[in-house]
Amino acid sequence: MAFLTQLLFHPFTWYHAHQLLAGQIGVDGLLALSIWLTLYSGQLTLANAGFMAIGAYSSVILTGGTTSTGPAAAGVHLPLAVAMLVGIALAALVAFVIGLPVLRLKGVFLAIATLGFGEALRYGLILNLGITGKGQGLNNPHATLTSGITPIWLALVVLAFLAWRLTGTKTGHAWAAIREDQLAAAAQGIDVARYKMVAFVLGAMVAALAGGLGAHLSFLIDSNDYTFTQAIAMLIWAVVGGIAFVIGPIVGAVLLTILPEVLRFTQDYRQVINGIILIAIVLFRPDGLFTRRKGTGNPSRLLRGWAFIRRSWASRRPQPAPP
Amino acid sequence: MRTTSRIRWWGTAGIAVAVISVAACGSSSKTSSSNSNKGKTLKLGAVFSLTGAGGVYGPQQQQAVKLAEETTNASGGVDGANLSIQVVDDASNQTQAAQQTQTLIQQNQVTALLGPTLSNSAVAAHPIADNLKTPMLAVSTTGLNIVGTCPYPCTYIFRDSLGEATAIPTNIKTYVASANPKPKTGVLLYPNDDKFSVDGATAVKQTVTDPAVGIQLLDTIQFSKSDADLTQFVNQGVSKHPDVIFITSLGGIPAKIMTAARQQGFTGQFLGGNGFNSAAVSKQAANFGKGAQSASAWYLGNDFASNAEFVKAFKAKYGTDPDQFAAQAYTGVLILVDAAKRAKLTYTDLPGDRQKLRTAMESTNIQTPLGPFQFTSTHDVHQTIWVIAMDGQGGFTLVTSVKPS
Repeated sequence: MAFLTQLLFHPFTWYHAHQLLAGQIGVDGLLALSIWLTLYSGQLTLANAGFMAIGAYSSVILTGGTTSTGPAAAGVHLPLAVAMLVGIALAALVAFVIGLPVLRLKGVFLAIATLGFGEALRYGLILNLGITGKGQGLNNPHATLTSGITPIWLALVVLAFLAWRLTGTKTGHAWAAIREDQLAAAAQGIDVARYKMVAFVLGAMVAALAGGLGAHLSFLIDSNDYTFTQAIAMLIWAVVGGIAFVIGPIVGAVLLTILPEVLRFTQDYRQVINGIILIAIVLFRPDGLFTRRKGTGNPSRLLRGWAFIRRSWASRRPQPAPP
Repeated sequence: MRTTSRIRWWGTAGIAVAVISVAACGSSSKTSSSNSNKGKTLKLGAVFSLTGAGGVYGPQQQQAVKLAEETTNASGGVDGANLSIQVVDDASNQTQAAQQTQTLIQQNQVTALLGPTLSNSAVAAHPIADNLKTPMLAVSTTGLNIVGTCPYPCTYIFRDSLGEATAIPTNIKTYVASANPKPKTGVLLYPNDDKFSVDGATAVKQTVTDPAVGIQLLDTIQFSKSDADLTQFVNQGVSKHPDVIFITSLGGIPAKIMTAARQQGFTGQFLGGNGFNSAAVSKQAANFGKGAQSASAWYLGNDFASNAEFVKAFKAKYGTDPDQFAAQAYTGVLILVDAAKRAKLTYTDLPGDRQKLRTAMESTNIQTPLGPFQFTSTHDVHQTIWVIAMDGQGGFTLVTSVKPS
């Protein structure tokens, strides 16, 4: 309880003692955004833990990461921003290549294929390539720890804003149309394959960015951080938050990352209560916290509530006197 | 109107809180330093994996730490000061471990910390403690780069658990020295997706090439820690007819391998690391594990006073025998309490106290359940190593003890 009281009433004191958690929340928010991009276009892909690993390993290797036998890539010391860009570009390339065959699949088959990509990357490459430190993990002597938190939150705010603006563009409408009915969208002349690929590649890039930023919060990265469990966690955030609006998965990620900490006072019952809350959310809000009202396309009560607060706030401002 | 009164209320409340906190600070700083620390409290923290993958080790550590807290306070505390240890759960997750470490240091104002349980979590949490200049003593992590050659300046980090890089060579060399006939060949089995196991396998590969050992590795067989059936991997190993099977892994894997290998007719020796050193593993392997040998930081049957008292007290409080993890966690508290006594802490200047405690820890030289204990110059373990073998009934017998060089 003390955690919640402090968070609400003394946010600065809270932040001072929970900087790493704040960083983790930001990373999880970015990952939620990455999976939202594909879900919004109607594709259930679970490859983002793999793209996250690509971003993380690239950014650590290229900034001078070391394995137990020495430097991962001798003589390579790129600035973090450059290393991150390389990781993002690599993720985009990989996404494009595997997207060509995989995006022909739909629904659960797509989910399985993309999940397979993540596991193949982990067992096939990461655990067998010397450059990744294999199962011993990759040391990251250039971890930024707490100074890395501002870039994480900056990236989250900027990208969430861009994603929100994107929903109003031609691309955003095309994604929504494909999600509602792929055949109808194609009949209207929408290049389905192209728009699906755009969503998949963008999602991969955001996931790689999140992986790179998150990796620099720690002195060691390990293949166990990028498993199937991580991919499923992203999906849960999106389900809890709802995918109708970009804010949904992000709020889902923030809530579910902070929830175990809020519940710490329940001690042994922590996981149980965490699970009960998850089930309750799915039961009572099956479309997530932020949804559109059925039939009307209008935002649901939660979002309308926000609009109401905003309007009433605006009306409280002193109105200019009539001339 | 209502808004103004609310503001006034909050203002009053705020002033009240400020006055109380100033008063509280004043009263704590007023007490002058004297020899007896009566009324003061030495606050320590412990980050353990009570749930998740490490949940098989964390609870014993918590029990041992609580026992040590109780016995210390019953026998006069830390020169009169009350000892208070807050144990938190990191859910076997490295992010939570790092976060809890930061919270314990900055919010709960602990003087020093124990933990975390797992090596992966330690690599995330230790840099935080080091960065905030707070001593942190690892009591169960056995991986490489925990102390000594860390990827960051680990000046505040200590370890009282026996690293695999020491335990495995000691065990293999002890076995080779006493075996008749000498083993010539071996096979190594380990999961390649677990840091602990891979670190151990690296130690095995390095040791067998030592001229004093001279064992030829016929095969190195890798699998995944999540593989349910290991029979085919064991088959592959046994078919090479090795004298020794090396297993570096933990949890249920060593027992599974031993069972399968014996059923397929393997009659040679099993050698391993810290993963063998739990009563649960010995019970699970039962008769198939009889004779399986490993080097341990602790042996239940040691009857020197510091261990006998610990085992008796643990059994009296919890009704079961302690294990190696409990013994190392208990030792951790003894080390910190001893250092705190010698450091002459002020109990008012927290950063200064942390610094003093760190310096005092370096000259630790005490009797513990692990035997006589000191730290090396790199803050690692300097203790007697107990080479033990499974007795086939869920327990262990002592093979020999190796004095530190």
